[in-house]
Amino acid sequence: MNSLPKRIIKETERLVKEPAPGISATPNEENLRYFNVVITGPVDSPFQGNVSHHKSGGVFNLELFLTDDYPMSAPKVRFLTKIYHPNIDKLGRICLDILKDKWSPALQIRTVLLSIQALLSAPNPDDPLANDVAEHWKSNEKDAIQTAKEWTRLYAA
Amino acid sequence: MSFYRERMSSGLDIKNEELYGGVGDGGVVGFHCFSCWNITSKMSEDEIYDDYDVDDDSAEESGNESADNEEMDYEYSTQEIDFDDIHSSNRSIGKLTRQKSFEVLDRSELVSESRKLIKEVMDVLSIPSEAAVSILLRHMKWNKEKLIERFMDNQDKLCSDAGIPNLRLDKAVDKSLQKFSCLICLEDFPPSQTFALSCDHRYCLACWKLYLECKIGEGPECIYSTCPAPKCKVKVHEDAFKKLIESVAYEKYSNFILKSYVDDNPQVKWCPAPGCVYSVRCDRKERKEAVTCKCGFQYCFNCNDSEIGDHMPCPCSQVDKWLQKASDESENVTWMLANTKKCPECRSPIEKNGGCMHMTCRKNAGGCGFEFCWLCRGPWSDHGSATGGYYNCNKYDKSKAKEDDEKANDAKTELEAYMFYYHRYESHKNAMKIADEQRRNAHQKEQQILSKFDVRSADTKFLMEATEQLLRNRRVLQYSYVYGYYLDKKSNERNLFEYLQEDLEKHTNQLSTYYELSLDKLDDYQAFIKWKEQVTNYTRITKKFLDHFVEGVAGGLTGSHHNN
Ligand SMILES: [Zn+2]
Ligand SMILES: [Zn+2]
Ligand SMILES: [Zn+2]
Ligand SMILES: [Zn+2]
Ligand SMILES: [Zn+2]
Ligand SMILES: [Zn+2]
Repeated sequence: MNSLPKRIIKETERLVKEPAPGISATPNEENLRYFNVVITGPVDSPFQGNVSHHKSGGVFNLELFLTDDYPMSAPKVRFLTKIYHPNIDKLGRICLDILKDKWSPALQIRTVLLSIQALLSAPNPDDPLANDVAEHWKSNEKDAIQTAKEWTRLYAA
Repeated sequence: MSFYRERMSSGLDIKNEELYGGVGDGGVVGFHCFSCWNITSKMSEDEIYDDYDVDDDSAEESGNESADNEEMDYEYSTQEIDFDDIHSSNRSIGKLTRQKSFEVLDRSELVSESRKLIKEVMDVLSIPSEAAVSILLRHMKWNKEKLIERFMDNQDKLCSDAGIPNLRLDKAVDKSLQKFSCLICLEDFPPSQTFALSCDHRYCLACWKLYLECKIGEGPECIYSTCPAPKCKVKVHEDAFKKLIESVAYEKYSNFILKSYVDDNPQVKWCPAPGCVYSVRCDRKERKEAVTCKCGFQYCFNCNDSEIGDHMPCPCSQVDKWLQKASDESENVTWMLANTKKCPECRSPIEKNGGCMHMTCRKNAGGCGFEFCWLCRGPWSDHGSATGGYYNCNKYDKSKAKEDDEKANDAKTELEAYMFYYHRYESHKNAMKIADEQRRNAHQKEQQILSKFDVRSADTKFLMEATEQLLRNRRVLQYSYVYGYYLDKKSNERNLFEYLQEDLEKHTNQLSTYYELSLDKLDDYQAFIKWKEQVTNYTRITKKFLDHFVEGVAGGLTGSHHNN
């Protein structure tokens, strides 16, 4: 595992050179398999943050780790910023099929992060990880979105 | 040897008097059917002896003693035990036990069986690709009829559901391509070093290899691996595996295919013995008799469990209930097991390391010298043939049970009864494990005999036979206490059952005692021969008793064999 596979080097180069909109991923200097990730809450989602303050929109920190098996096994990703979302639990773990059984070695870090960004736009309370949040979402969506906005303001500023 | 015959015949007499309450006029010989315990056939004295003869030698030696056994000539009262409910299923167990309806398969037989099935489907459906049919069969859980039906019904749907939308399984490479960029390793390759299934998701050979070996590492599900492309449902077929991975890994993969062939097939199961590679096919669903694997393990095909093994005479459901109960009562059981490890007289700790139930509280280890029975914890002097045989170890105290009749539902009484049966169940189970160890050490003992007594190696064969017999007897005795526990406490069947069980148990214990005799105690060749004869004869006697027990219980439970 000492030498970094070419694929990881190439992916990293591209992530830095042509970052996807609203997403940044920076490898840790001491461990090139560990990335600090920042995802900006998508527009028109409860994770967008305060629209009037353009720069202070919802900013979510994540960590991403590539195991020795990567790309045969999925990267490990976790939210570090607290977030009120039916598919993300208290520990920041994410319920996303491509991070589990639907992982394909032809997917990349970029596709994973884009999928997570999409999950913020489209929460799926029918496939929940955080059951109480999902319950809230299903029983009173308006109220749940309000709480999500509140959390975004409190924690993701 | 004549001694045994005497013991046995007199044993029968005592019992039959007790059971049937009547002694006939001696003119006619009656004999009960071992299956249902109705008196059904008239047997001559000779026939009875045929049944009990230990071997031809002993028949000669003891031939002059038949006159002593005239009391065998009873005509039993016409009293019939009502087994109507039991007979209702009317199955001929006597016949079934002799019918071999199972088959042990080794790996190559499994391979050829599964290949044969694939070939049949290829022929019927005119599919030229073996790999494609293999995928279809696995998709349909190896059910050939269902596969053919579905295929006829809607070929396209079946194939795409199964993950082979195109029966041309691989996509040929476009020769005009100059170079190809692999989306997994992000490197460039000449097209010749790439591969794609029918979906044309092309990757380099190195990535394919890594991907498939990774899947194999994840376990049996690897046989359903799909193309590595995101969300692509096309299945990776056998030939692709063969072509893309190392042969060691492919071997593993083929074993998983065989495993699915067995696992998905209700008529074939792996032998549950640890480390055994054989599987067993059994066509009859509710087979009651044990199957015997080529590894030597005998077990119930339905339960298919190495710990349970052969649970004759209990039905599977009873074993289930019993094991559940044992786990529910585990606290009480632990307490009881700790308690039985003490001398009943002086409470010194007792270590049981043989299969024999005759225990001595060792004086040289600070004990009192009390000799007692491990099963009932009563004095050993009350046991065994030498004393004329008062033997009650296998019966739950009936006089006490009568006294306590009103309290019959009392939980304490119930627990006590359970403990009674559990202790005996456990004791025989442990004795069986010890016999199993002895089987492994028998070779050593044989060598010792060969060097000490200067005999032929054929003269030590009896040891192995005795070990096997002990194993079988202990196994049956073990489960006989499960059976006994669930048997109606007051039924006539119970008397008969306990009677058969008693015979089997005491003779098995006697065999254990002889069998475990230390070689140091045999001074010379004569002593060895005498010992050998004792063990040999008891092996045969207990075999007889075992057969009678098993037949008796099987017949009494499920039907008669009056047609034979
Ligand atoms: Zn590649
Ligand atoms: Zn594909
Ligand atoms: Zn076996
Ligand atoms: Zn069974
Ligand atoms: Zn003692
Ligand atoms: Zn006893």
